[in-house]
Amino acid sequence: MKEQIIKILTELRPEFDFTQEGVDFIEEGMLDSFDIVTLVDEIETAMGVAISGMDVVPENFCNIEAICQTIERNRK
Amino acid sequence: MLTSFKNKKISAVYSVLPSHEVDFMDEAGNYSFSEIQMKKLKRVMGFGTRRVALEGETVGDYAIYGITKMLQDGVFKESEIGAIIVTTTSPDHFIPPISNIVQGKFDFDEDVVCLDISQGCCGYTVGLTYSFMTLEAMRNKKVLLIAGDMLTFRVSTRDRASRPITGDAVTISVIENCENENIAYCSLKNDGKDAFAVYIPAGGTRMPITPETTVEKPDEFGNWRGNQHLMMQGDLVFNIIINKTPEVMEELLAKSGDKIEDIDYFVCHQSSSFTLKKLSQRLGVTEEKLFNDIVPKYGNSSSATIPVTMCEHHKEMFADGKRKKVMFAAFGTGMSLGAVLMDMEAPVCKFLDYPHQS
Repeated sequence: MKEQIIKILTELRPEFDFTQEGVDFIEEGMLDSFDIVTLVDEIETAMGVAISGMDVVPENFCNIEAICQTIERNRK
Repeated sequence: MLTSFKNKKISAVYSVLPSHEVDFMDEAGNYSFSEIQMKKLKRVMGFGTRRVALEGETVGDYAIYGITKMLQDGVFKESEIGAIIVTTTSPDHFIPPISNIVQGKFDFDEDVVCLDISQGCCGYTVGLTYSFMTLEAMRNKKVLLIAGDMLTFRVSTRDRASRPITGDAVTISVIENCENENIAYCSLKNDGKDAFAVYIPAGGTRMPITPETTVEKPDEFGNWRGNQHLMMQGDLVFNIIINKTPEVMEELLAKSGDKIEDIDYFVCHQSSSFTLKKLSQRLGVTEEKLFNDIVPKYGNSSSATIPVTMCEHHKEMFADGKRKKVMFAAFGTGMSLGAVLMDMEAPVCKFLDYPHQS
């Protein structure tokens, strides 16, 4: 799943390296609110999961781990 | 306020749209999006084409044009009207109210109630509720509900959050009493603690417009705005919509005794394609029941999007000639939330293109 998320992120913002450990994508300005909604849409299409609107908040997309947890939570 | 009204109906809806159309993809130079982002946002957010008024055109101009056409089409007679209610955040002037300007342009009675309500995206549900309340006091009259906005002028051309979705439109609905034993359930809620989540700082008494207030400055996301421009805390507004709107809708269902699957159509304020998609997922209804196609075609025209949606979809909604259970829901400036649940017969619906003078 991590590789798939990194691929989506890299297609969205090719100027950034999303494989770095310990980086907050939001604080570092790598993702803004438009990137998040686009990311949600791409994840839903690629992984067949509907992300709840209540989960569309920056802290759920600040790193790869948080994104994975958000996807898993919405699969249940 | 949670309330209900007996024997009310929406008999006609006309939507007056600017003929002038702009396309998001032609505005690339205004925003700091990459080409990839623009293509993706076009699909996800509904950044497509939108109808935009020309500078100097007003809500009153469009309303007068629409009412003239309705009179020519025989939709109502001037003598039948007991009230003119306007919901907008773009008044023609501070003084006089638009409802009075409209009243004076036609042969309406001097007894006609004229009321302007300062409401944005929630305006149609607020206006419907006030129309029903007014009709309780005038059994043999009809209400003209004018709902619309001309906000394009108030959104910076370099505001990449709001500009790509903002459109202009003015709608006129005829609301009247009827004998069909219909009950309309209405709920209006407000949370003024977040009143400045959608905000135009300059132009009122607090901050008059001066050369200093019109200087555009960048924010951290690359939007350039002056104080005369609309500013929106998008994350907060989205959060309120997703959390609170379903609660208001569920409250009405509890009041009416209906289940969500009993509702034939959800006609909601269309703020962005993404927001409506998340709302339909939250409610567990398909986009065949909750329309989500106005923003990419016409833009978000504030209080006009609900009646514009009815004009766009009335043929399929009422194709079998039967009454339908329809839920209207909206959310916007204030922050205000509103929902109306009612059985509807097919209203007379029509789109009109406003003929620009220049």
